[in-house]
Amino acid sequence: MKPDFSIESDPMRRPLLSRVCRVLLHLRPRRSVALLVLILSLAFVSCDLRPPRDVLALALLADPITLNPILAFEGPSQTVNSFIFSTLVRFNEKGEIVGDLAKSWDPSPDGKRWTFHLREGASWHDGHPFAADDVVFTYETMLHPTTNCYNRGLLQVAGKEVEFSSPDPHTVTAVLQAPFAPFLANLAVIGIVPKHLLEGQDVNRSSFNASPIGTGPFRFVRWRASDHILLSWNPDYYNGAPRVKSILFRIVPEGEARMIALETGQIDSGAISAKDYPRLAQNGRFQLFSWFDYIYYFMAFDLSNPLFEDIRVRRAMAHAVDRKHIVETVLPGMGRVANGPIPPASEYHTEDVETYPYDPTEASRLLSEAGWTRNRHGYLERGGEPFSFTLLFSQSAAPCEKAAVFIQSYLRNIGIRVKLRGMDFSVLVKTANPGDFQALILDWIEGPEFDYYTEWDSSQIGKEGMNFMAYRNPRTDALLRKARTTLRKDVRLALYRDFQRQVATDAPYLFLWYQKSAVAVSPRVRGLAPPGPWGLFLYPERLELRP
Amino acid sequence: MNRYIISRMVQFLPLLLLITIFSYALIRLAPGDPTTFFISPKVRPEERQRIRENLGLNRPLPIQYAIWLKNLITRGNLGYSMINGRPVSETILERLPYTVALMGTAYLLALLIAIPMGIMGAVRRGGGLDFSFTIAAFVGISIPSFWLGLVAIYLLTLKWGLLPSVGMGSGVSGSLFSQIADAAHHLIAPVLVLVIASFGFWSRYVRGGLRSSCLQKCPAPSCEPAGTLFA
Repeated sequence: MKPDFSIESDPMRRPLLSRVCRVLLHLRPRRSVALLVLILSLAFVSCDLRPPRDVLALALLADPITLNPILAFEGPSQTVNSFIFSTLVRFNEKGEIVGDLAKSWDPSPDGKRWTFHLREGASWHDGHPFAADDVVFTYETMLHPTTNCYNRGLLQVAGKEVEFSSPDPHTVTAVLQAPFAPFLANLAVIGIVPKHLLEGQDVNRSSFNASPIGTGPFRFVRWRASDHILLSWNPDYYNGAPRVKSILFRIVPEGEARMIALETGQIDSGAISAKDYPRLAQNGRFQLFSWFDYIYYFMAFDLSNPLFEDIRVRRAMAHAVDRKHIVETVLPGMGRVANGPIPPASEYHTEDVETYPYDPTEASRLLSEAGWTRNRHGYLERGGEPFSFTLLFSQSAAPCEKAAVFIQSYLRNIGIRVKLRGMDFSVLVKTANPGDFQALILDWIEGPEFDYYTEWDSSQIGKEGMNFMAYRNPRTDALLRKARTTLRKDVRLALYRDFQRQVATDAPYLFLWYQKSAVAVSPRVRGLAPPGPWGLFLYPERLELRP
Repeated sequence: MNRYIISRMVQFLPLLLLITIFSYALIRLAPGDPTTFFISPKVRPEERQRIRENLGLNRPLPIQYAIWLKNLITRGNLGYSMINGRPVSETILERLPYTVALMGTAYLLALLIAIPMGIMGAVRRGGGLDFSFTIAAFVGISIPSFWLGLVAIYLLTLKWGLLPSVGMGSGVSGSLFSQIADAAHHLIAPVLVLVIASFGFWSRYVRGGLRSSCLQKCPAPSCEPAGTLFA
């Protein structure tokens, strides 16, 4: 079947300016002036700012880096790719893993060998049939050392690359070094690329990265750098042809400009901040949605620092800070107090943990029990040493900055002196190593089948790992190691529940808040997915535009 | 004249080379490198190190520059983006039409307004017209363009709903005529802002230039200024 690229072959391909000049040069001066005036008046007359009836206009926060899912690791790229590419398996709106290019799969009893049975009849946007070779090619290219891919770890288990092969055109097998529960979840974020277009090329520099071909519901049409990306429907999409004919991604980096574009109908959907939520809720012109994401903010202590060694000190600080007040002030209606390391969006989340309510008296009692006494200036001292530390935070995150000021004043009330230091996010991340910091405010973004081992296991302490606060507890180590190698969900649920309870009891972080996302959508857009961390455009083919 | 042009061109080459060395050094002496551009606690240090080596960032800076220069001279290749791997020349070229359309239109209109203003101001120096042109020019010079941009968005888009605030066009195809109207529709507001921000400077420039050339050619007080101006 010949692919339909009707929009591709439009006259817009030739630079507009040259065509205008050509027309004007062929006319007599007086006529060309008249034509110019006509154009200008037309421009004012056609002052409907909304996109055409069959075009869904969405905003991107920045120009994507690349439209090759192997290399894409930032938000805008992943957003656009999710419309163009399919994955082997995917998440549904409940965070469960369901098939996409794979119909079904079965792990071997020891969990080390996975067999995927592929969907038949799927094809690339250029008409080429999709086959198992494409899947193997995608994963092998991603793992190749010369590929500039930052997410290679998704396909590594126990330090070794997963081995992929295709015994026949509709089967893919994966061999893992050890059973690994988050393996499927990792596959769900890797878009499959066509072997026939990328084989033998330098994938880092291929022109494919700026004009991609996928198997997803929408086809790539054009990308005007820093202005827009246009996609058009794929009538051959295996889950049914999309109902929206075109998707126009407008690149609008500035937050206020996005709000204005949204309110004047130039874009159909946009993320909104806590500050704008009440106003938009009042004016009632939008469909408003909000949900808790897989994200939480915390204040971490360097547990290898003697200052924070004593569990009573950490608990005292948790009691001393009125986190409820902070959240209600900093993020009104958009967050709630966090008490544990697994956010509420995850089905592994439990509320049944130690909570440390605001109680300065209890905080002071715990501190004096730990040997800290107030000196004549009202500050805490132990053996002549004052209780004082520096709290680092990212300057680009306004809520973190505000929270840091609150924490400083709450801790001063119980006699702890906190110095604040805002820094660039990248510097903050580099400073997050045991011994290099004392306390910092950061957030973790996780997923539905997240491997909490990488953040909390004692083997991940040090420059190479993410356990930068040097948390060490043999009990949580055992729980996490068992959970990541157990494929049975009910067992994992129980293990992660115990893990959360243990972490909350140990108070290695001062957990701050779980955060919500909020999105406003134009009333003309229908067929949205139920609100949740996977977004309202989880099924692009189901979207509809009402006239 | 030809000799002059050629000698200027020859002089230009070492200067160009110095500029490239200077900009190369300036950018690379800043802390961090392209692999820290999207730093996240989740990217492992060994992955970053591997990509640094792939990109050649682990080699000494002068060698990196020499490789870049060799590719430029032998193949006319400006290099590839460290961030997205695309050819730098392609990245520049795809943005050029927008720059020409926006800045070209704005400059043309600003000059169309500024040159007559400057001439009239110079001819009737000290008169009422000159006075009002001077005020208009200084108002234009004094308003910061970013602020004017915000005002334009607020009034033209948000309040009156006349002009779009994002994009170089509506992004969808139509007839040639509707395409032109569409592009013009998107150009009006930014061009307006740029014209207001720049016409003042140009009109003062023209007025000042004419005044000094008039003085050179016209020593006698009885000389007709207009005659000298347009001679």
